[in-house]
Amino acid sequence: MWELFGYKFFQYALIAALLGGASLGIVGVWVVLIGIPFIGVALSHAAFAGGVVGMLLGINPVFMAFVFSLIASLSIGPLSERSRIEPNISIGIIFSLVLGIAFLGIGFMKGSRNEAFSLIWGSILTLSRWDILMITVFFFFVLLFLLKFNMEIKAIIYNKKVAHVAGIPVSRIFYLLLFVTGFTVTVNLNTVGGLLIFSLLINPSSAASLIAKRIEQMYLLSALFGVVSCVCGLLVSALFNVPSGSVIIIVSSVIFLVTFLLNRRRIAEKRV
Amino acid sequence: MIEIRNVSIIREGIYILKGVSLSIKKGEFVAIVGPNGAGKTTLLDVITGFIKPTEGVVVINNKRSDTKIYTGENIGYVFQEEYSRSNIPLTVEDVVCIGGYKRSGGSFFHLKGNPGLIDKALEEVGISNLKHRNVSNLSGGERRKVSIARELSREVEALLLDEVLANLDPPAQIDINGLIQRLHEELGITIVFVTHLLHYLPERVERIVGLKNGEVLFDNPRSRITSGMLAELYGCDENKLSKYVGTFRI
Repeated sequence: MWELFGYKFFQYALIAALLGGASLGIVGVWVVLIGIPFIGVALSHAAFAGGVVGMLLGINPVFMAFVFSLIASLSIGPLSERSRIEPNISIGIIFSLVLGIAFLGIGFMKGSRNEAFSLIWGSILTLSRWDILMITVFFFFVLLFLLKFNMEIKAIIYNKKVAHVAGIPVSRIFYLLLFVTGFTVTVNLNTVGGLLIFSLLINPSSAASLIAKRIEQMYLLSALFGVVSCVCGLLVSALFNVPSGSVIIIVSSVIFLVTFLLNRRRIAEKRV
Repeated sequence: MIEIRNVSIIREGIYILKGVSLSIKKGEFVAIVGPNGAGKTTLLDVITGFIKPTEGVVVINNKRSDTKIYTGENIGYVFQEEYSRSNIPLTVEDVVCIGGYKRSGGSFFHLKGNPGLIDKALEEVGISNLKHRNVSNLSGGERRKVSIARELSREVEALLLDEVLANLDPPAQIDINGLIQRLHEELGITIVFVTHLLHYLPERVERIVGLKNGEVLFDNPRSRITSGMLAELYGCDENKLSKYVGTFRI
């Protein structure tokens, strides 16, 4: 097993597991506490649709994935605000639209469609130097964003109306949150794939919410659970030659289940 | 201090507020009463700029609230239920900190560095001991105090209180009622008090505004409010209403 650490592809995968797991864990806290869990699915599929369109048009698929993810994340906020519909409904509308675009694009493809489908399943063991650079840059970007807007985010999580009355630019911060979430999902798309990245946003932060008393604890625990899920998934995938994304998601689900079972008495007491 | 001039809110062709005009002076204690759907909360939302009026204007300390200028700096707003989730990983200090956002120059780092404002607000409402507690584990009365402390942390001139006694047990109602009256008496804060609890109007309420179907039905000093006016406001029999709320202490 140890000889694996000598290979470049494995070192890249390990960096992606550590930094990608942590940044998805942090972003997941916002997604869970603001109550927009479906956003991960919508944004990852927007990125998938962008990748497919890029392949069709002969433009860099990763660049197009970013563009689509950006458009989707910046459409969700205004759509829900201006049409007075729930954010989760506008997320659903965007999701169905991008899914339609993605499959229409796949239908137009000639020859092998494996490259397009790799965006759905992900492959942590085939990441390039460019992928790692992007994952690293966005990890630090997420950290900086959190440090800069920590208290504004706390206010929005508490109550948007209260935040507005206090003079916080709620819409602007909310759009920024969607934007950072969209980009974090896109850069980590190759790690677990568009279909499964949703779970990596939800499971670690949900497990952390069961035991954290302060939001800072929740960020730390969620990032830790994200890292543990990714590293365990990577090791199992490399050792037993099984799909990495699936193992990462199963590990993150097991972490949630174990956290829930270990704390079920405290959770029940809280509900009374 | 607060001037509401001929304000209307129209949604899908229906008037939520219709030609409402009110003038609230600095240091007044005004109660706004009315049946469900009368437009009481909408009126408070308009005052704070959360909702822009379809017609008319709101002027706070000589500044129009429908402009891009932030006018809420001197107005605090406490909602009936502020908790969107049963489990929020925030402490009392975190929540009170929200109130001082503008005072700290738009950055929370400054306020974090100057905990004096938060401590003073917590002390004023008597919950200094709860500073590091998780807000999800507080009682209803303690939560209302946290919300009031949050608004006091930016040294507001007026407090808009939307059904702050609702869903509280009698000791907590007495406690919060006493706190509000003390803030009015000792700090001279203007209070706009929206309530359904006719039998439990704070003693310091000087003026009562009755709102029905988005319109002001009456706006009188407390001494001139009769049970007949309230019966008309709620659209029910005067004797039945009197039996339900007891003798009006108006």
